[in-house]
Amino acid sequence: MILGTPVVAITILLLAFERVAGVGIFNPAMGGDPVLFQHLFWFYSHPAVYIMVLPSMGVVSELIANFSRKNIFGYTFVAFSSLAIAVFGFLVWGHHLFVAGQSVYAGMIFSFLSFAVAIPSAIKVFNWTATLYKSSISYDTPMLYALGFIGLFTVGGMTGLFLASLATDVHLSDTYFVVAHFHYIMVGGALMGYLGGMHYWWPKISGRMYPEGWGRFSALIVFVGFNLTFLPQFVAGYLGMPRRYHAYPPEFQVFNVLSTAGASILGFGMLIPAIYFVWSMRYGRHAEANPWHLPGLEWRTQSPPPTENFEVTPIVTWEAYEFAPPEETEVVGKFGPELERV
Amino acid sequence: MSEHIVPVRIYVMIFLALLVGTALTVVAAYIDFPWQFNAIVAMTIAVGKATLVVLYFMHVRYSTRLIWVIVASAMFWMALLFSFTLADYFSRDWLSIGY
Amino acid sequence: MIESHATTPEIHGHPALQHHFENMEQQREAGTIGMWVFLVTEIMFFGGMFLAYTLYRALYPASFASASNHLDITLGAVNTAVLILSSFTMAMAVYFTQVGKSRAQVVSLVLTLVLGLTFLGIKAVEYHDKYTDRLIPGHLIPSAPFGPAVQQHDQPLDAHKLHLLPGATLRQVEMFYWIYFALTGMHALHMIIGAGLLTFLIYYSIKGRFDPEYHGPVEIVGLYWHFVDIVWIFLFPLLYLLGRHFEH
Repeated sequence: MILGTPVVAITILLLAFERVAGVGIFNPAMGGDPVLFQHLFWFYSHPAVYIMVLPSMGVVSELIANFSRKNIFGYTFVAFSSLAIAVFGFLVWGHHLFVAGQSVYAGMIFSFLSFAVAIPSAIKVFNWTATLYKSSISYDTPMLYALGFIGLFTVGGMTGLFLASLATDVHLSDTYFVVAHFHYIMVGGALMGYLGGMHYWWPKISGRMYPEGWGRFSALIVFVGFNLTFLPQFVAGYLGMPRRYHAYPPEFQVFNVLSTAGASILGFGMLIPAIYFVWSMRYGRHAEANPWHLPGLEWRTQSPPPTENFEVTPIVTWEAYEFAPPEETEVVGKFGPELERV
Repeated sequence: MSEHIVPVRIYVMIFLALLVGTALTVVAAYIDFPWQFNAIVAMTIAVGKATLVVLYFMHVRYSTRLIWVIVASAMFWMALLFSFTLADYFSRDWLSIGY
Repeated sequence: MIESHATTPEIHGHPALQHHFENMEQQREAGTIGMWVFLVTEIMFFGGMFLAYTLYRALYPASFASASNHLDITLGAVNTAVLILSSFTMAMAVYFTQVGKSRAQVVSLVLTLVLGLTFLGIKAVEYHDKYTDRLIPGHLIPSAPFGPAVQQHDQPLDAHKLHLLPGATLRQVEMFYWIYFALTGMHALHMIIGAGLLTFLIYYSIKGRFDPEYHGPVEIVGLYWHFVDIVWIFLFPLLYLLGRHFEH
């Protein structure tokens, strides 16, 4: 953010002055260059979307490890992949300019780098999957969202590769394929991570439990609704339906109908948690300190935590993500420095 | 206090060097160098002056490695923005396919 | 392994030591890093405009040279010297704070502020010249040769005092002036902010707030001031000097 935001800030300022003062720094009729605007704009905006998805990936790492009671596979690789995504994300902005008039040679470089940035993302997906292997998975609501993330993010990532190749991008650029791709990452990816995290930490934040049955139900509805909304958009885009048009030819009608139906279901699925979170604030079961029976430090204090977070500073005698069989994870007595290993 | 205090004579020398650099760049501007060398000479002098300011006036020479990394990464990122964008513009003529 | 440690309510050491720092040295270091990170954003901010300049200069070399030659090189060079001197006095202000010479510190800060205001004054003179020469682009200030008529068709002829080199067009010259005003205007805005910061520093220096142990704020305002100087060090050759070798 430090490196990218100022560039878009100055770009927007210049554009504002251009409109107000009537000069043409990006206006071709006045000798300016709109592609320059695109370069400056996407220099920020592409890293920005990686910024949006990286925190969700962190949440998913936490959820996968905790709800399969297993240390994350290849922790170092996952950590460095996050760094790699952040750095590489700054090198690929030209893939938004493939059909804008950018030179083919620059396009080739950006295309290659866009393929390269998929590698650390893939490393993370493989590591998460490996974490699940031979583990003890409990299908609570947060885990459902995390599993949804893995699948949907993979779809989004792979369709990104279609867009990263120069030749296919000529056909797919500015179609609904692009829309579907980034929604799979943003909603199927980032938003699922967000919802999973909300459900995971809700007992800690509010001191109340949300209704688990409704949680699982809404996770399912969100998953179904989301796919129904955006999967037809891949097909529609591939068949040529352009984006940002208010009217479309009748052969795309069926995809739009499916998509709208899916959107309603998705909206309904997201409304339910909104309702039950609010409901739980008043009527939900009071949450104990460690409702998920996990070894993390946040579960070593009350739900919700007191002002200083911990009444007594905990003395940690176990490794992070050190899981024991479920029978041994009951907290003995009141938590405090004399806490038994769980 | 473990902080390094830069002696005054260093500041004075750097200040004089900056003034010399300014005079130099004005003089060089009037000389007609071949090809693009005017720009190269001017930018070299400017980068030199900026380096002196960064290292001595801004104390980066006496600072921790973390600050070096921060400064270097800013330079690197600006170089990224410039090089990739200009690479686009300058390679447009290489392939005559219509734009 | 997290060790439990008691946080005592009393703050040991310098009264300006914040509770989350161990000692003044660490606090000063943290403040410096924070200012450097901000300067990174400023570098990228100006960098976008420098990119636009580089691009258009490469595309319209003759127009840019013509436009640049119309700028007053004397005023530009004087401004450069003024800013470099102000950077020197700013560095001296930090030095005097570090060694505890508070009167010299205040004098240095005041000198820096005066030089900064001098720079702004000279800039104002230059801007006024542009106004009288009717070289302010855009239609906010209706003027020829950049008036609305230009937007309809290009006039490849001498206009007012501009001496156009072969290949230069008025529209591209207008582009140069737009970039000139954007760059120097943004720079001047940063100078004004710097002047405000210096005023604060002078006020607190007179009150004796800074001493050899606590001089973080002086140092980080110095960093900001030196950065603004560096931007001008690049602006001067790029805007004022690029076409001089065509002049004779």
